[in-house]
Amino acid sequence: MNELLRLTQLLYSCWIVSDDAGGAGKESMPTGRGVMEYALRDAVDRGAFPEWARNQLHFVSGDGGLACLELPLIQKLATEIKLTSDPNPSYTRTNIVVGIALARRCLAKLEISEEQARLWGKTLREASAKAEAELAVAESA
Amino acid sequence: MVAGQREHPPATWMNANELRHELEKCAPNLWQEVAVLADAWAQEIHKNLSRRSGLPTAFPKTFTDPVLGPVELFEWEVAMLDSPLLQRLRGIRQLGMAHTVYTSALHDRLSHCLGVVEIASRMIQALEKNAYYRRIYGNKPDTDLPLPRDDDRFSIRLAALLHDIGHAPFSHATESLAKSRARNEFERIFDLLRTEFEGALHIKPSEAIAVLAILSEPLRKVFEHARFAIPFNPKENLAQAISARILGSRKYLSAPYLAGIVSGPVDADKLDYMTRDSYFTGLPIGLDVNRLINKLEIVTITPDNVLDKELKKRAQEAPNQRLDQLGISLSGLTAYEQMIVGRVLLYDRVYYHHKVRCGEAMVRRLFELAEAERKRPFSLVELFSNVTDDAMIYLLSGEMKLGDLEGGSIRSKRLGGAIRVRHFYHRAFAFAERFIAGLDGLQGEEEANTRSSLWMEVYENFDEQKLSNEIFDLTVKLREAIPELKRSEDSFGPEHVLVDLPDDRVTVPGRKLLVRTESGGLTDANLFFNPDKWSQAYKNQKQCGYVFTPKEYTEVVSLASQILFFQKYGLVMRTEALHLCKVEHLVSPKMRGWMDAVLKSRLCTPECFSGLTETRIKLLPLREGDIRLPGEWCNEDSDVKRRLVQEFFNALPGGLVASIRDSVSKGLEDLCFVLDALEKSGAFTKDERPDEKRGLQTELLKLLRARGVNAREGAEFAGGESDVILPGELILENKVADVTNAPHELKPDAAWQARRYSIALNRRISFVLIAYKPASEAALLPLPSRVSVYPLLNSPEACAVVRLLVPWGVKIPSRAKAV
Repeated sequence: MNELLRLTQLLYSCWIVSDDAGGAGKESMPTGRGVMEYALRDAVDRGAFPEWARNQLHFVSGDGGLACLELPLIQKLATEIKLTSDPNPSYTRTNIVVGIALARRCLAKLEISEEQARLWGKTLREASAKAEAELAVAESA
Repeated sequence: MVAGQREHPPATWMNANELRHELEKCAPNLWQEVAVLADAWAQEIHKNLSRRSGLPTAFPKTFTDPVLGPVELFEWEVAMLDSPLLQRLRGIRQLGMAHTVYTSALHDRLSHCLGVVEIASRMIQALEKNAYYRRIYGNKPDTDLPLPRDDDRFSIRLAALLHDIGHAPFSHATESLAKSRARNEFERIFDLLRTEFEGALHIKPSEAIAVLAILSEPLRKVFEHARFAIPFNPKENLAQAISARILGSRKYLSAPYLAGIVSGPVDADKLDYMTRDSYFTGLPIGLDVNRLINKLEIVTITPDNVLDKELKKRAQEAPNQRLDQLGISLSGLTAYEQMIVGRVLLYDRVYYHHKVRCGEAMVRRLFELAEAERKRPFSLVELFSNVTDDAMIYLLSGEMKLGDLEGGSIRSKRLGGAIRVRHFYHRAFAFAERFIAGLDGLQGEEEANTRSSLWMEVYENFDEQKLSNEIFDLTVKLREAIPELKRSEDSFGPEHVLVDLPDDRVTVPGRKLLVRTESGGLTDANLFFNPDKWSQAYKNQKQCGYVFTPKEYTEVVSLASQILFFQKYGLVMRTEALHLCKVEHLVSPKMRGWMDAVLKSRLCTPECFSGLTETRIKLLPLREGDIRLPGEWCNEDSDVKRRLVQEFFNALPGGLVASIRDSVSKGLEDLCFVLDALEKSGAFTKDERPDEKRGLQTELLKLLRARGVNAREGAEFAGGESDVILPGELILENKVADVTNAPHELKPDAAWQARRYSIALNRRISFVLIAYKPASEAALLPLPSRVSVYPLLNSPEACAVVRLLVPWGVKIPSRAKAV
C-alpha cells in the first residue's frame, strides 16, 4: 500500500504542478483506451520520475494491448484518496479535483522539488498528448 | 520482465526442467515446502493410477451438480479427484464465513472446481463452433483459423480442475499469512512467472502455490505416468501448459484464442463462482451464463484492424500477421455488463456484508492469536493440512490436535468458541472518506485538498493490527478513567478489537476484452462501458472500514476509535458513520459525561474534546488572511504568506479548531514582530554567544510583554522545565546554537522537547526559536526566511513545529536598521 501510495502521489503531483493554466476542477487526465499506459512508458523511457518509481512500473503486452501492471491500481487509489473524481460519463478521462497546495504537500513528503516535478509532469503530459494524437490518427484511418 | 522496461519475450522459452531449476533458485523455501505438500498429495494419485486399468478407453464418469447439471470427468481427471490434492478442498468453503449470514452458502472449493471444468468445456465448445463456422461460412471463409486440438482441450480441463489447489482453509486469511511469511520469494516468483508465461499479468499467491505444485517433481511423475492417459503431447510440457492456463498466459496453445478460459476477463472461474454463489446464497443477480458463453467469439487482430500500437506490433510479428484471441461480440456486451453488475452486487451483499467481514476478521485474528500463543508461526505445510474450515477452527483454538499441528491456548479457545457459535463482534466505528466531517466551512479546491490529504493520512502506514492494538490500549485507559466503566476484572483483550478495511476486490480490471465494432475494427470493451470505473464508483459509495468489538464493549471502543482517529489523523466522522454502527453520538448526555471524564484524565486534548462533542465541527486551516507579518517582510518576499500557509497545510492538513487556530495565528504574529524588533535593535550583534536563559529568553519576554502578550516563563512539567508558555497554552522553546551554514537543520531535538511539553498541555503545535551564528553571508537568512513550519515526522500524533531563527554575532545589515 505504501509504495503504491507514494507512486500515486508522485504521478498525480507531477501532473498537477506541471499544469500552467489548470487547477482543481479545470483539468482532466486520460484513463481509458491505453493512453496513460503508453504515456507512462514513454515518460519512463525518457527518464522521467525517480529511479524508485521507475523500478516499480512494469509494462507487459496484454491481450488488450500494452498494460502497465500498476496503473489500474494507481488510478483506483487516486480516486479512493480523492485526488481524482469518480468517473465522468465518457469513462475515458477523470477530473483532477485537488489543487496545487496538495500536490506540493505530497512532493514535500516525497522529498522531490517542485521544479523537478514540473519537468517530469511536462514530460508525462507531452507523452499523453502524443498517445492521444496517435490514437486519433489510428481511428481516423 | 525488467522493471520499467518494455517486455521482450525470451527468444527461447525454458523447458520444464529449466523452469523448475529457476523456481527453486529464486524461492528455495517455498519450492521445498510445496514439494513436501505435493509429494503427499501425489502418493494417492499414483496408487489410483496403478489400481485402474484400461484407462484410455474408459468412459468419463458423471457427477451431478445442482447448479450446472451433469459434469463429466475423464479417468485421469478422476484419478486426481480421488486424492488429497483435490479432496482436501472439500469443506474449504468457497465463501468463507458467508454461511453465517446466508445459511445455505456452504458450497466448497471442490464443487466449484468441478463446475469450472464444466463451464470451461462449454466455453471451448462455443469457441470451437465459432472457429468452425468461420472456416466454412461468410463472405470470406477463414481457413487459417486453427481449431482447438486435444492438447488444448484436455490441458484446459485439467487446469480448470486444479486451479484452486493453492488454497488452504479460510483461503483469504491463509493466503495473506502465507504471503507475509515469504514476501520476497513470492515477489521473485511472480516476476519469473510473468517473464516465462507471456501474457500473465496479476498473479495471486494462491495461483503461484498452485503453479509450484503443478510444476513440482511429484506431480511431474504423475503427469508422465504411463497410465495417466491424457491425450497431450509431449507430456513433459503438460505441467507448463496447465500452469499457463491458470496464469492466463498465451503460451502452450495451438488455438491461442483459448488462452483466457480459466483466467481472463470472462473466465470459467468467475462464471462458475458467481452462478454458484448466487444459487447457494439465494441472491438472484441476473447473470445469463449461456448467452455470455454463446456470445464469446474469436477476434482476429491484424495490423490493419486494431488501434493499439502494441497489439498492432504483435500482429505484425506473428505468423501470417494475425493474432486470434478471445473476444466478445457487440451483441454480447449486455451479458458482459450483467456479469460485472452481478459481481459488484455479490461483493456488496455477500462478500463485504458487515457480518461476513467481521467473521473473516475474527478468523484472521484467530490465526494470529494462535501463532502468538504457541510462539511460532504456522508453516505452509501446516496451513495446508488436510482439514476443513471448521476443523481448522478447532485446531487453532487448541481444542483438537492433528499430528504436529498445534494451535493456541486459552485466548484462542475463547475466540474460536465465539466464532463457532456465531457470537460475532459488532460494529463500533465506521470510517470512510465520505464520512469525513468538519469540512463544511471549506469550499472548492480548499475542501478537496483537505479531504484528500486527511484521507491520505489514513492510507499512509495503515496497519490493521497496529491500529487495532492502539484502539485497544486507549480503550483500556478509558475504562479506567470513566467511573461507570470501572468494573470487576473481565477478559477484555487485544483480540476484542478488530480493525477491518478490506482490499478493493470489487473493482473489475478493465481493458482486457476486445470487442468487434460495427465497422469491423477491434477495440476494448471500455469504449462502450467501463466496468473498471463503474464498479469503482459503486465501491466508493458503499464501502468503508470498520472497528469490530464484542457487543458489551461497543460504546467504549467507539469512543476510543473516535479519539484515536482525531488525535492520530485529525479526522472526525459524521454522525451517519455512528448511525451505521448503532452507537450513541458523543453529544448525548451519557457520552458527554464520559467525555468530561476523559478530558479530565487527559486522555484526549481539549481540541479533540471540542472536535468530537460539538454538533457542528469545524476544523479550520490557516489562510493567508490569518497570517500577519511586518510589512517589510511581505515587501521583501511577496510569497512568504503563501509559503507559510502551504507549510501549515503540509504539517496539519486537517487544520485546527477555531480557538487554537486563533492562538497559533496570534502567537506567530507576535513572534515575527519580535524577530523583526530584535533585528532592528541589534540585540545580538556582539560576537558573544548569548546565554539561553539570561540573554535570549529575557530579551524575548521583554519584547513579547512590550507587545502586551501575556507570556509566562516556563513551569516544571512533563519531566522538564519549559521555557515560555504563550497564550493559548502554546509552548515556545528557546535554544542557542553555534556557528553554522545550515540554520534550518539546527537542533532537531528542540522540536521533540517542545512536543513533549505541548503534548502535556494537549497541544499539537509548538514554537521553537533558535539563535545561531551564521558561518557565511549565505547563512544570514533574510527575515522572511527565518520562519518556517514543518511536520514532526514519526510523531505518533500529527504534530507541527513553527521554527524561528535569530542570528547572533553579526552586524545588522543596513537595510534592516530602523529608519
